[in-house]
Amino acid sequence: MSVNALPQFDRELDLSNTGRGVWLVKVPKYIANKWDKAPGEIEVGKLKISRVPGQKAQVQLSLSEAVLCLKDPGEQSIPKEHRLNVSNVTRQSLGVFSHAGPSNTDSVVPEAEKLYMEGRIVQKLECRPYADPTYYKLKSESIRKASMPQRQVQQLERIVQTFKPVSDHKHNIEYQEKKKAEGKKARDDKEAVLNVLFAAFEKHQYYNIKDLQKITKQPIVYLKEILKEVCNYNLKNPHKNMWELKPEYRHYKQEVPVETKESKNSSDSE
Amino acid sequence: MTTPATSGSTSTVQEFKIRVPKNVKKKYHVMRFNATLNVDFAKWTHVKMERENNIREFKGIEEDMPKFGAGSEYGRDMREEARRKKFGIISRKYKPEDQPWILKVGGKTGKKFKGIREGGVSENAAYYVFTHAADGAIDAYPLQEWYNFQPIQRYKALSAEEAEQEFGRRNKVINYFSLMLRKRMCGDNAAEDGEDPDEKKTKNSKAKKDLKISEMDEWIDSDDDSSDSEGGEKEKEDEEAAAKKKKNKKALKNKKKKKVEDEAFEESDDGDEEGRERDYISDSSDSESDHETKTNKELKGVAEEDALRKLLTSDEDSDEDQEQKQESEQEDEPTKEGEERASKLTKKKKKPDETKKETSSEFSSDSDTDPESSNKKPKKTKNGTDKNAGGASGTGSANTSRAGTPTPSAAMAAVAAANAANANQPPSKRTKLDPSYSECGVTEEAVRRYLARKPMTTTELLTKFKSKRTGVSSERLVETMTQILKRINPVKQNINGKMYLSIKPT
Repeated sequence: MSVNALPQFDRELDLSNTGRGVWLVKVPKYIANKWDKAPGEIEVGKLKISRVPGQKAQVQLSLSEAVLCLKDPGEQSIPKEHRLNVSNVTRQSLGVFSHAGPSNTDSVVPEAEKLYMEGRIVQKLECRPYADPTYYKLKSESIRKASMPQRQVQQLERIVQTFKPVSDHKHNIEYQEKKKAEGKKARDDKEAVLNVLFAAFEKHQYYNIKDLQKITKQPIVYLKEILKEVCNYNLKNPHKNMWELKPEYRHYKQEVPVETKESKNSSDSE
Repeated sequence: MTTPATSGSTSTVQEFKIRVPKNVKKKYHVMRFNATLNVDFAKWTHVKMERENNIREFKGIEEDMPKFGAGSEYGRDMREEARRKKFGIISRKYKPEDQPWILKVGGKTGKKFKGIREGGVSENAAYYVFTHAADGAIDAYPLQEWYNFQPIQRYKALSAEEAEQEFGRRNKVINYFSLMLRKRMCGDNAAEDGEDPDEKKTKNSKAKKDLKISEMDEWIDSDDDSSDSEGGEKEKEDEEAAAKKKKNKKALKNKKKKKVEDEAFEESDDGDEEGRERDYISDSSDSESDHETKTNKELKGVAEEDALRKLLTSDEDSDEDQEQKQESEQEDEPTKEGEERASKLTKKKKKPDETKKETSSEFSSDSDTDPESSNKKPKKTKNGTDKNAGGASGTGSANTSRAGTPTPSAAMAAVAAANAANANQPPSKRTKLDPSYSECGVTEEAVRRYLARKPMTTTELLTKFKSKRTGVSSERLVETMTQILKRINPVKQNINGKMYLSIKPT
């Protein structure tokens, strides 16, 4: 991703939902996995709030059958009922915001990545399973899985050959073929080469001979001949071993002052 | 919990359907603020939020090479990358979506927050946010990230050096305070001193009317001693002398300290002290030879005073004065020599080497506090001049006063020399001299010089002198200044509502 694609404009945060109170619910991973897989339209569970006067409200979460059945072969079944411990948000203010937009798709136009304020978290709920046999089974299974070693010893009956000698590697062959297709570098008309060179030097001031050879597709001897005519070879360090145009051929002169001026202006304004 | 409560008698059970919408493209994040920040989302208006663009910091220090055009190298970035790879450095890609959020609340002047992603929150558990959907069900959205928002300081923090500097200044403030205190104390002292001289003057003039002064402080001290014994007996004086010696020895121990203190009050040169020595001797001897020495003293006092005056009025004559002084002093010696030489011999011998070093310590032993003694100096000169000022002119008075007293031939020579010196000066200046000018260090000559140079206001003029002499109280300075200005009668101009005084250079 190029740097320029980074959206720079100031983005307004959509505040239409700011006042809304939302719940923050912490759920076990196994529930989250199920919910992740579940299609959006179906009901994944039910939230039951039972209030007994004089007592704290009891909040219960019971997963729907559809979600419970939604499992890969060999996967453990998960408990259906969970209780939710309600607590308030203290010592911090939590908000929820969302941003919609191009996730990871490299779209050419960075379509307006919108930001929404989704509300303020008024209550925290912690989902806890009841200690029933299903849950214990699930846990023991997960413990068993966790304790299984990652690598195992295997006895081999025959030699496994991982490396075979190759007379010519694949990329070598590709390169040869490409070269053949291009054919020998023919000396082009000097005018044409100069044009290409000047065009190249318009973009950058310093070039390595190899790059120039690639650009002009000329034999290196011939290219050097031409370069000696119109270019200087830098022997010293800032741009060592690089070619640049002789001063009389340069014409980014007008461009340079403009640039420096701009930079000066900007530095002044800062 | 907006659904209508089906209120039962014992317990009510509300049921909500939970859905996990999948079609939304939104990603939900938590923003966390510390409670101390007092963030109220409901009050937010005009909130802007964006990812921080810190690609520069990410890339690190890199020489600013132009990417194209003049000065640019073809394929430099790639080559750099290849070079780095050769050394095993594989740079990570800059991910703009991983950068912290910058939150601006309330426009330009509002608060600014930086939200940094927190790790490890959703490692072992998943978080969902439950919101009410339109149809009464609950929509659950998974939360992706947690961002901890912290305020960004709008001001620039001090660097280590700057902080150090500021810290030093903090101490300085305290110093200023004490300095001011000290200054105030000093100011009080000065004010007292300013009053003092007048009292002293009268006292002194009564006590030793005939005694003439010198610029030296010791003299005065020794004068005091001698004046005590002036009444009479040799023995007493000898006793005193002996006592003095002892005292001096005692004082010798703490003389160093004293001297340091003393330096603050008067700037003394080597030459000064030499003068003192000799004078001291002469003073001590004068008690016996009442008549002649007195006249001698008077003569010398006049000469000295003249010299002082000249010093203050004109710089040109100073050389002459010095010569004259020396002359008169030398001439003094022989007259004294005859009398009481033997008795003083021991004293003489002892004193010079002692006094040389510890003139200051001597003062203190003589129960004269330093500031007082230093104050005596100007006051005495005033006495002398007052006397002279009684006459029409300085020269005239000198002549008349001397005429009355029996003058030895040596003294005559001194008078003649003094007269000759006086003759050099323009009489107009001399007549105008007021004794108090010299006290404050404000001389008409100096004022004239300042005014002739450029037009000034009176306050400017005053500051010129204030900076020179700190010991003089400002009231006195103003007083003398007004007197001088009256006499000079400078040209007055009003510029920008201020009166500027000036003198046309003649």
